[in-house]
Amino acid sequence: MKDPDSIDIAAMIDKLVERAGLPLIDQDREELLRTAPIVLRIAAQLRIPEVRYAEFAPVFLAALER
Amino acid sequence: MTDLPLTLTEAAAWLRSGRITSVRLTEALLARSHATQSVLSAFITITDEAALEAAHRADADFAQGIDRGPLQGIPVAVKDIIATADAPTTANSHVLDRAWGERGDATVVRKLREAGAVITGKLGLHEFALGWPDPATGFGIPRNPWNPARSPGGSSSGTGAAIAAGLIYGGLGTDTGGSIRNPAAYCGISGIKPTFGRVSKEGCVPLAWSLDHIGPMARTARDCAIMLQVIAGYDPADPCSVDVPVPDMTAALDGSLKGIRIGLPRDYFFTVPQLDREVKTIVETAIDQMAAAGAKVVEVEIPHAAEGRFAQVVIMLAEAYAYHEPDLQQHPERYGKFTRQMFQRGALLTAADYIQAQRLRSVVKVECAKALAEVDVLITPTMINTAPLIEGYDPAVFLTNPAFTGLWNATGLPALSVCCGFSSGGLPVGLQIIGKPFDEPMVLKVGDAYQQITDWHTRIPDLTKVGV
Repeated sequence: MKDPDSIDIAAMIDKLVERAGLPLIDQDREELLRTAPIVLRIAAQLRIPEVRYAEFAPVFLAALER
Repeated sequence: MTDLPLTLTEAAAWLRSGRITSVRLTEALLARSHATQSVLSAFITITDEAALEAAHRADADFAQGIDRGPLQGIPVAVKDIIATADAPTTANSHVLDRAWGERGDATVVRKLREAGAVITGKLGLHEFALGWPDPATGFGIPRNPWNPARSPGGSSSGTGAAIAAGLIYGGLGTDTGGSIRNPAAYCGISGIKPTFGRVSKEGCVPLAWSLDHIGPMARTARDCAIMLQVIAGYDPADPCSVDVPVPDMTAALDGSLKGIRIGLPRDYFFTVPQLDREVKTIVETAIDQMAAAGAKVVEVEIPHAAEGRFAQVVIMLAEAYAYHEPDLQQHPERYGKFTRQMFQRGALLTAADYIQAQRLRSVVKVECAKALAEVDVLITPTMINTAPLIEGYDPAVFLTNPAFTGLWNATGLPALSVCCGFSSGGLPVGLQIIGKPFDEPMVLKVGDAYQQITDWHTRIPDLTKVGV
């Protein structure tokens, strides 16, 4: 994933929101502009080396831990 | 509350000794619920008539020698995201199709009724169990009985407020990232998120399918154990339900901490700069008390705890967005502002982000299993702070602040919050006890034993100070 700091956040939001078909009022777009960098940084922090060959977690976690 | 029992356990004893009837108890708590509603807004719906009918049935059963167990005749209530046959289900939202709640009782509600519990109503929550209350929706905003200017936490806000204020003896909450344990901590009560699959979610509006849990909240760990005993068990109607035996949840509650091995994952849970110093000190004092009572405390490591919390956030936002996308497209204005904005963030995530989060979940699951291998439980603070002020709160801090609860949703492990003290400002502080998969009895045993050597759980807010 691209470094979040190098992404044009406004353009990204407009693209994703258009694809999703979400009607956004100005207030909601402003809030997305404010918090999208945080969400992207969170997503970026999921890419740790330990995950490189990890399996997808089963949804039924507890059942499989028995 | 001097003329009424303090805990569910005490109330059950009073009912059996004839010191009080279920009707009298229910009438008293209904009156208190109505009297506090203008300040606390703990309920969305109070079901007086149905509750009194149930109370009469409970008393009639007692008179005939029929005893359905410790919940018989006990006033409890249900978070208004879980379906009940005798009241609408709103999820605190104008979005949820009202017909959804007309499906009848959820499995957990049916089990409560079969155990003789008296359901007094539906409790307030954050809209769809996420976000933050928006006054513009017209729904009441639950307030903290310890200080109504402050939040009771969420999303099971009403359940926390109602139990702390003595309006019910127990309640059902739901927990996708901490929504049982957060209000339990902020309101000074107990609440357990059971192991994923232990309690059926059938009849509960989903927030995030792979993280959602239903669990009990009550004044004490023992009271939680009594409720969990009733609602636990395999349910083929819930695809996440797990077919494992339900152990006796109270059998191990012997008040002893001797020989119990407590693991402290100090890194992250005790070291993040956002952790309130007073909260940290109070939790560490509680751990010292446990050690003095015979527990052995050792340090353990969960190297990617912070990243595990991020995985929970990404999974929750992505799954919630998938559920809400049609409503966000067609009538976004029906949501409260904060909930709508929280769900919209899910549109920013890609399939790869979601899958990466699920793979990270596998990594932290193994790390947690290792941390628990040589100990009986882990202990952390429940929250980084005490209850925040409602006015001026920015719900987006959810994204930036560390959190100690979500990791246990990602791993599915059972986690209990109990009150372990009060801040200098008079606000409760919670301590979190995490156990191995399906080992709720051990988690509850540690919580109960701690409550045997302390009296924090017996403290009640003075509602006369807030005009009730």
